[in-house]
Amino acid sequence: MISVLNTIDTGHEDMIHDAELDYYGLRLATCSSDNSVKIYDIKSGTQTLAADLKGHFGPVWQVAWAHPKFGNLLASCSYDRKVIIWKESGEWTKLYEYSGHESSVNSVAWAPEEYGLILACCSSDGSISTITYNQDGGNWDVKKIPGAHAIGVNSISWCPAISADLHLDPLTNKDAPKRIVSGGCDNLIKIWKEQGDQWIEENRLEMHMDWVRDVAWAPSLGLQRSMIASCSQDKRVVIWSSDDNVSWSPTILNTFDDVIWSVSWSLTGNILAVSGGDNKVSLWRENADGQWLCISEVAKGLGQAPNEERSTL
Amino acid sequence: MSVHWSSEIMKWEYRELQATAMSVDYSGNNVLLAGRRWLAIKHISVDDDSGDIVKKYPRPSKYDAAGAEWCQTYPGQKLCAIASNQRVDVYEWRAGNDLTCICSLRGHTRVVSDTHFHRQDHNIIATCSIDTFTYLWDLRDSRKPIVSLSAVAGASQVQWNKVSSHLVATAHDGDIKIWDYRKSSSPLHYISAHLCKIHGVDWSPHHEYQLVTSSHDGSIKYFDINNARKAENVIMTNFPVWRAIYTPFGNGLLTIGVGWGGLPRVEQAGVIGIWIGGTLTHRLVGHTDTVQTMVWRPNTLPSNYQLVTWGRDQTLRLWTMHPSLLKMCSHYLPDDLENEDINSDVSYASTISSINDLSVSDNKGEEIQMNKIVHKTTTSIDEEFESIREMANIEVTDMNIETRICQIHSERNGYTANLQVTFPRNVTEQTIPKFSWLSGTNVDSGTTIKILQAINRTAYRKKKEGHRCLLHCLKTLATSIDEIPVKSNEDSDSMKSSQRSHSESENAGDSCIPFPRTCGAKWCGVSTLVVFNRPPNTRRLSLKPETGTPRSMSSLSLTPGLFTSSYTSVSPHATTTPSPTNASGFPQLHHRHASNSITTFYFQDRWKAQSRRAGSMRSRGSISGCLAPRVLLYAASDLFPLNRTLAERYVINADNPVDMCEKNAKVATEEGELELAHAWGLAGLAARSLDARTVDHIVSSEESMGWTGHPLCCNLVQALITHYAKSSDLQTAAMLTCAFSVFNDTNISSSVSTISSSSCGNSTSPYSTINQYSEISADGWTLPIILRSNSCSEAENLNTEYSGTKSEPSTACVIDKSTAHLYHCFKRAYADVLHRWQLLYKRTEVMKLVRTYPETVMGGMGTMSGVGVVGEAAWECAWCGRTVRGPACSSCRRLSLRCGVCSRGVKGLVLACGLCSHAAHAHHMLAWFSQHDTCPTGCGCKCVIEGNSIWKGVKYV
Repeated sequence: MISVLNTIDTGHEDMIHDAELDYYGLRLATCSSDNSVKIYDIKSGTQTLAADLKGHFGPVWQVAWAHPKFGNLLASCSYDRKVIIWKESGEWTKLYEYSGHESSVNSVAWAPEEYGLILACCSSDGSISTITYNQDGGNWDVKKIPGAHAIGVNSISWCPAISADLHLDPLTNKDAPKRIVSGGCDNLIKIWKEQGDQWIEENRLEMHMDWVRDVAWAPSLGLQRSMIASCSQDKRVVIWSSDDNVSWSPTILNTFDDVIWSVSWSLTGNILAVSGGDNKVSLWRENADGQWLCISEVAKGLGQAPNEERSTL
Repeated sequence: MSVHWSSEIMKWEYRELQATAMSVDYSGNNVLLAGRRWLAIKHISVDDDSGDIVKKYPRPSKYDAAGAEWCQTYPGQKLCAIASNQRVDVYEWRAGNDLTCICSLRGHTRVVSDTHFHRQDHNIIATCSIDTFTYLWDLRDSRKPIVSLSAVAGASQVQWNKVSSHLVATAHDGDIKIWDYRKSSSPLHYISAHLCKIHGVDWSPHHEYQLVTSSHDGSIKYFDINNARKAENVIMTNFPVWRAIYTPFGNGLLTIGVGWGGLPRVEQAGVIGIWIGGTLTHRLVGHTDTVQTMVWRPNTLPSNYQLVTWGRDQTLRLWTMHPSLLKMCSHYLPDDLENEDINSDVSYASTISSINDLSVSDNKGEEIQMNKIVHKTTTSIDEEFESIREMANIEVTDMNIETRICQIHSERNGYTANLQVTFPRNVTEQTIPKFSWLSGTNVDSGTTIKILQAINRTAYRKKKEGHRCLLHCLKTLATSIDEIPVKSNEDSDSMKSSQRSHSESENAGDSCIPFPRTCGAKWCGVSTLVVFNRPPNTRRLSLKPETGTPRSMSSLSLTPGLFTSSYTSVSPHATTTPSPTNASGFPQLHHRHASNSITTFYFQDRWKAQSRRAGSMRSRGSISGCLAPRVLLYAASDLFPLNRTLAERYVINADNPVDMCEKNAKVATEEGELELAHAWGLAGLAARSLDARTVDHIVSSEESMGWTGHPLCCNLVQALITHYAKSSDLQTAAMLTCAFSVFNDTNISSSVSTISSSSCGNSTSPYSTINQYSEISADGWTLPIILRSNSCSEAENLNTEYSGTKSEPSTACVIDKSTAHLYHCFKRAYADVLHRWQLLYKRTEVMKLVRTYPETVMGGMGTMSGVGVVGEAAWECAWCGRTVRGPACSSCRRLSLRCGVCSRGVKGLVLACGLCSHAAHAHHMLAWFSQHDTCPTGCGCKCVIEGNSIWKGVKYV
């Protein structure tokens, strides 16, 4: 059973494109076509608007909270080709603005906290940028992967730092190899690995027949197997699994009725939430035989009374 | 910063005309002023400052003149076009006194926003309107347009290329479209230039492929149309820019703003900015209100450029450009010409006027005169063209005596230069031809300007000496190209890639931006699902039922029916004639269609109803009123085998696994988790047997060896852990590893456990105030280390020596290294879950059991900062930076810690600040803080005051 915890009337003047709770699940950030980002304090069934961040001049596509050990940081990316990192210190202010992309920035993702404060973003100009906070200089270093995907990059996700690699200190995982997975308009999924100063293409996964809209690397418990979920304009969701992060084998989770826009893993990495153009959300879990089963379909429409939306397993 | 200038040489005021548009004719001597009630022609000349209007013609009309324009060709110099509402009237100024309307161009269905005569063919005129169409008309048959260029958004500007005769640029809201009018079906290039409306477009006088745009968003962008994905250069101003035009000389730019440019009216209104190399260097001051039009006076000598402006203050002004400005723009000025400036100017102007005088007499005479002139100059152009000989790296690709144009192609070292030489008609012997770059040139614009200078210089010199110049100019070109430093491979690669990306981006813009998602679900926190989607009864606008959800945002613009309506109402100039005066103030930035159309895409019905109610005005607020986008949070904790209550109640006591297992079994039973209780029971049994052996292993080590290998002991425990991990029950798996960490870890000699990330703070508010004082800590909490150890020891018996529980490897469950590592990973992942649940204390206990390998280097922070080690403090040596745990550094053999007060080494008791980690002798510290509240090192930390809150938080834990 899953039940509605909160219903938040965002007050946005246009469609919402992303919403995310922070690390502790106490704050909600939403972003919209009305060019604004809003932050709500969530407390047992009630919510209050904490901030209305205006700084983008175009629809804001995605928001991402940083790990709280870096302070209260929120990154947002927009059609206006900019990435803004907001910081709360009493008030919410713009901490850093990155305008190194030449087209709409479609996705932002913070690196696992073990690596330090690193933000990755990708754009329709075909490139991926990583922005690293350099504590010594107090400045932000930018590294770019130009031409990562022809036409454009739609989504990125970081490989978790907790890894089965023996030589890594489980406490810090600082030295775990940094990997990013990206999906783009060339129908490809690419895995990038940082080597020295460079991001190199380690792998490319071919399966989708249309633009890849979202990719998500599953959180790791330290087990050998790592998984990546990808979804595409071709209405399919594919689960990629690998035992060594080198060779990946695909499993088609399902072919849906409409375009799939997003995939999201739960914290323990065993339930996948899938949503798409038909306005539906479904949850999927792998059974013991390695088959993916739909366990629940939620939120067929927000207009229904919350009671009706409860769905059973 | 910028120099204020008032270099106007003439000023005339005509209040009664109420003119809204101005244009200067081909000769540069007649100015047309058009208003609602009058058309007036003014003869401007420096000598005769009568201030009188030459001719005034009544123009009874309800509408303002949106634009007035003289045809800028010799044969068409008597033609002018007046745009007014949906119509464009073309007048002919006959015999110097009769202004006759020769035709009216009717075709547009909305206000005409701009007109532009073709630069060579006086019969062709381009008009554009906010009805989204751009028409080309042939004046010989003006009933309907000869070419129609269709776009999605209304056009605000139309401009013919200054070099090529086929190219025309139109501005649509924030985008530029480049057309070859011979292929009218689709634009050659599509440039997503600005996020706000583009007010002005100007082609480069020197380059076929360069243009500059000015926009309401306050930016001015230079584009190379062949590589238009990115602006070549961007100038950010602090005011909305109404017009930005190239200087005909060098590389300068002139700008006028919209309204008062965000500055107090008196100060800013009517200031013309001159930008050189991206900075505002000069301001032309004189106009007391917004400047509406500025044009370069045609047919002035290259050494004497003049600007003609008409402002809202109803004054017409004539400005000269100071020679120093020309120099700053790196315009070539022939030194020896400077003295002759005035003379040549006069003679030059008189030449022009004499032609006028002759030609106005009657039409026949004009033709004869023209023929004469053409004939006369043809000889010289023949000579010029004949003079060209074979030259290395120079290839003449086109030579046309009729149009007096010659095109040259030159290639060297990977550089390509395509130059067009245009010999003007009806000019004196001294006039040099006009040089401009064609597309295909890949030399950067700075260098092209320099080469142009060199060529101009050569041309001047040769002309002055009375020689033909073309051959020498080409020689100059060839040597200049030779002299450009050879670019490296990288450059040429990037060149290639930019060319490639050009082809990719030909239809760039929204077509490669994914269609916005309006529905999504994200797992956040431990078990919360955040869902947002479109409100109910949203009916998608069906493009075609079978197409499904579109791929890219360009699909939004494929629905023109929607768009024309929403666009025009967004455009600030929709209902009135465009002029800088009625543009709205700066801070109001216009949303692009993207944001509007995503709503309209799904809410077509509603939007129609809305617009009917509210007339044609569209209010975003009211649309949104019925949207009310919502986000739902779902609690899905039942889907996960993670239980917060259990986490809270579970006991972690690694020193006494038996006790831990039994207590946890009880907790699980009480919570109704019988299966877990059973598992804990089994684990308890295994632990008891292991524990027993630890004690009496000396007595019967053989037996104990047997028992540890028994399937119900270690194997059972491992199987349990594996089972729970596989079924994603992280909580149980991690707790079991915690219980057996004592047995698992004995083969690791060092028992020092570190906690790198402390979890201190008030547990009711995880947003600790700590980080708000420091900027950002990129590498772990800025939380002090001393605090960690303190908080931990305060919490429980953390400073126990693990060596005490060390046992012989033989008695433990021998697990291989990878399993041990895996178990640490479980604990870590579980610690993260606890952290998210804000069970910070429990988390610390789990993290304590994550063992690090002894060789791991720990990171420190400041010279005197400590490094977190449970039970003892460590710091970086003040001298060598190594991590030290005692008073003396082992490598540099000095006292490693320096006192923050007396700067000497510290041996005894040390106190460190909880916030900034600066340390000092305890007694020094106490003495210092009895009088001060800031850190003695001068780091600015208010240790006593701010540190206090942290310590308080610790007590809660």
